[in-house]
Amino acid sequence: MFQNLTDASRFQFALTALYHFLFVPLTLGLGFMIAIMESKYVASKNEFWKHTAKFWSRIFAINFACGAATGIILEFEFGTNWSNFSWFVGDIFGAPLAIEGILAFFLESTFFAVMFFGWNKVGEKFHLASTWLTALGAILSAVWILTANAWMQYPVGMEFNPATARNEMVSFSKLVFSPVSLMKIAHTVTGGFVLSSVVVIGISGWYLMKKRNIAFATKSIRIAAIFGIVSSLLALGSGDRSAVQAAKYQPMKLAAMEGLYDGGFGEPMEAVGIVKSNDNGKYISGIGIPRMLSILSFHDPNAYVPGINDIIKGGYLYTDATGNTKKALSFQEKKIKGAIAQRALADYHIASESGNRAAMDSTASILKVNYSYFGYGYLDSPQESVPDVPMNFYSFRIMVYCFALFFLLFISAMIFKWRKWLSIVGIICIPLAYITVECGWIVSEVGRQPWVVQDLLPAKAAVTSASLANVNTAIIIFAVIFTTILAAMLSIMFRSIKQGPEIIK
Amino acid sequence: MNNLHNLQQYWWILISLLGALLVFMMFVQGGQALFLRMQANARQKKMLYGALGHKWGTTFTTLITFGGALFASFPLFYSTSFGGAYWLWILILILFILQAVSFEFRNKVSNLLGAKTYDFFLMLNGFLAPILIGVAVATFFTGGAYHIDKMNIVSNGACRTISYWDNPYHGLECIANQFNLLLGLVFLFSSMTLGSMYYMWNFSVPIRKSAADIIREEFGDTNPPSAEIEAKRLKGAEESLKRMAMDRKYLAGKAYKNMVPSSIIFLILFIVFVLDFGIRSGYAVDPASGLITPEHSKYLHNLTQLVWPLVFLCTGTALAIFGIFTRICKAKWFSAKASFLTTGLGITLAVFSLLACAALNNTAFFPSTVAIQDSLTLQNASSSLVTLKTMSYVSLLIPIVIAYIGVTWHKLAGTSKGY
Ligand code: HDD
Ligand code: HEM
Ligand code: HEM
Repeated sequence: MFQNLTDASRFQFALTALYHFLFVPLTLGLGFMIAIMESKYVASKNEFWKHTAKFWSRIFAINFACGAATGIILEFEFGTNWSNFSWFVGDIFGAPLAIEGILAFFLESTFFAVMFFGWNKVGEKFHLASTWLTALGAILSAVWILTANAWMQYPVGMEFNPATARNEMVSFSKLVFSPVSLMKIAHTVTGGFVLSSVVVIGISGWYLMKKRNIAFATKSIRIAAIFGIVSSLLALGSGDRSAVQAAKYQPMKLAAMEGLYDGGFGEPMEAVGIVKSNDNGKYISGIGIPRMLSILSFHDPNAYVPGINDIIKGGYLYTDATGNTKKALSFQEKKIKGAIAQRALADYHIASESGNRAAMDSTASILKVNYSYFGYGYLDSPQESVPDVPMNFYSFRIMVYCFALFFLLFISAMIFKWRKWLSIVGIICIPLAYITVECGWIVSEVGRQPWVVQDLLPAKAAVTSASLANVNTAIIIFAVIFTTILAAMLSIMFRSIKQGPEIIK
Repeated sequence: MNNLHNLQQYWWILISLLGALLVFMMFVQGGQALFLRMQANARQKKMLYGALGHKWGTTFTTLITFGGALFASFPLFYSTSFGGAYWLWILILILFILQAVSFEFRNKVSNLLGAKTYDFFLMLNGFLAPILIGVAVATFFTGGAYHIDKMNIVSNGACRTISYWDNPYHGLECIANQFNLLLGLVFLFSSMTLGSMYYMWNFSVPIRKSAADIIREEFGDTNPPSAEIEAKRLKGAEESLKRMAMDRKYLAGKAYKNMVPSSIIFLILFIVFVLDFGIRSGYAVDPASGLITPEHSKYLHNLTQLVWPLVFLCTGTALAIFGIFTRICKAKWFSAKASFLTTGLGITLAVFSLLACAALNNTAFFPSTVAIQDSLTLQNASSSLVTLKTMSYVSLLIPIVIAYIGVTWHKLAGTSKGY
């Protein structure tokens, strides 16, 4: 197994998070589609829509429970595996997490109970309201956790307090309305919608292929296709903005996504390519679309896009978050500033122990000036500041190409008469949709390595000092449990799908 | 809401309340722990699941929120206890994962592992979750073997972790501590008491279902193909109603048989715990200097100096005893529902006051057994003023959330009466 505590902890987090996100996106999207179907029932009193909604609710329920089961472990992992992180950022990061529990999860589990056990027990209107609120509640849970995640990518609204050795919140609204956070929410939620549309079309397509439940399947496909077209356009827009933000706030992530070692003005973008592992440098070959990368990342065909080597070397000009043009620092310069900041923090504490106010003030101001590079003080070599290039490069491409595939699927579902090939494509798209969302997260999370908090805290300084054997054991336990849960869920779902909706007509 | 000190107290009170509610909500676990002792057949078992089925989510969420609130208000506890007592927390989480999927999967076809396995998972959760949560909560009094040095984060040495555990057991040793285990057993028996009282309530109210409901459940909303079949269905439904009534009577009786010993053991253990708690030494914090010193009977002093926890503890204990007593002697004038809620309220109040004593009145709420001055206190472990303030505004919504849950449960009450 793993030889290194940080790697093991990263793997444990990645494993559990990736599993959690197998269950989340369907919850995000399917809830809305069910709400639309139920609204149709309440409006038309046509039993058909009730049965349709009920069938998809069954799928939703099984999936939902798995989401809850895998989510609980993630929340506590911040403490169990990333204990330094919990202190370093807990003052900011804990708030959205707690709000999520207090507001989102409680309401969610109650709406959910009405949605599933309330048929015939509560009035139709109350039930419909609960279904809508279940859908909205799921989004609300996502909103808070994504706010926390976006803050790690682009830390704002806080100040480092040398006395407590942690970041403290100064503006809650900056945290909530950070542009990165809003975009992350938009893209993740719409991505969940896309996945849900694909799932509904794929399952319905299977019925059509088997020539059963025709009316049910055809109408479900229609709703899903419209929902899918709208949400994939939104996913495209927000995905594009996400890349722009990466260029602005996390240039190393962008360079890794593109396998771009040596950047320049008017950079092309590789449509397809093969990338070697980090140590070998450079991709072997690829087909580039001229100027595309510059357009994508800065919406300007001539813009300068720094590559990995450029970012390490520094010296190019860039526009910072406040709109000023600045010269980029080299890795070495950042490292020196980081070391100075860390030294200042240590000196501050020595001064505060001896009660030397003057020294405290001077060290605090040194710390403040250099704080934005604090994390670089932990890194030993420039290579450490580079994320896994092939993983980002391929994951990003898979996401983008799958987007195109899904979009075509939705359009085809709208305009063509249903044929067997469409069913087959629809079914194949289901696993691809899951791969797409997981790839998105890999771009987002692996792309920000080595940082847990961008530029401030690398994973190796965030980790709990549990023994390696502990973490390795936990990984095995979780892998076994989660895989079993997944297998059981799939088995139940397949059975449920085979059985089909209880439509009699 | 502008004073850090007050906000720290406020948040500890909220956390104590969440912890106390969690102990109450663990009646679901108690119900699970009783599965075997209820000697139910397959049909009756389904009714037991039905009774608990919709409630587990709330217990689960209470645990998550308890964790989330601790993270947001006292992050140093989160990083110290969770990171240090690693296995204790991981085991608790695993138990809850098993619970969530078991309730959802057990009664489904093709569930891969078979109903028996899920029953087993629920038993595990039913017994071990209250015990381990008791152990974890008791560490507020017994502490852990940790050191804290915030400057580690800028050290070049081997250990960058600001809080680290002093032994290789990572929380397993907490389970071996007698006091911790005692609280674990108190929680186990309180949840079994509440669980059996909950069953008694559930299975003693009249069935709200009619024959028509049963037909609808079984055959959907369709019209029967002929009058003959309609009559047959009606007869079948009436019979199953009768059978259901018998099953319910049987289960209520079994629940009573279990409730009597569980509640007596609970009361004995609880009194032993409170006595132990009263004579325990704690660690006092000097609010001005932050200096931490041991103090004999610290928790007893907290009770008597603050007064209200003492009042809550006594009221809570009295209510719990009253609720239990009315059920044991099957009082006609006090319904099973009223007994359950009274006992639940009593236990909540009692646990609330014990937890409040862990930190209020200048007490270190998570003592370090190896470096006293590193012990966590409300002052040194809390979030900043801005965060606590923001969170406090959010917390004002909690009553609305609770009210909504209450109303919904009330509306749904007809469903939890079995299948
Ligand atoms: C089916 C879902 C889906 C689809 C069709 C797309 N994405 Fe995506 N993408 C996600 C699902 C997703 C995601 C799983 O939801 C991620 C992970 C983290 C996040 O913010 O959303 C993500 C992340 C993500 C990121 C990283 C964000 C970061 O830095 O944190 C970028 C740059 C893009 N996407 C870009 C795109 C582009 C340009 C797309 C279209 C052409 C696209 N995505 C389609
Ligand atoms: C459910 C969707 C998510 C997925 C699939 C996901 C995926 C990942 C992956 C793959 C890693 C490992 C990166 C590496 O080690 O190379 C990781 C790390 C991490 N993620 Fe996420 N992530 C998700 C959401 C979040 C959110 C919402 C947060 C915070 C609120 C978060 C916080 C972290 C932390 C703290 C680490 C560990 C430190 C690190 O390795 O950077 N993740 N995640
Ligand atoms: C890595 C950080 C994450 C943590 C700590 C986390 C935590 C949790 C927890 C504790 C639950 C169970 C709640 C319950 O039902 O009681 C849950 C469920 C859920 N999570 Fe996550 N989650 C994470 C990532 C995400 C992401 C990235 C999303 C969405 C984009 C998300 C969306 C959801 C949804 C929709 C549910 C189920 C609905 C609900 O219970 O409200 N989670 N999560």
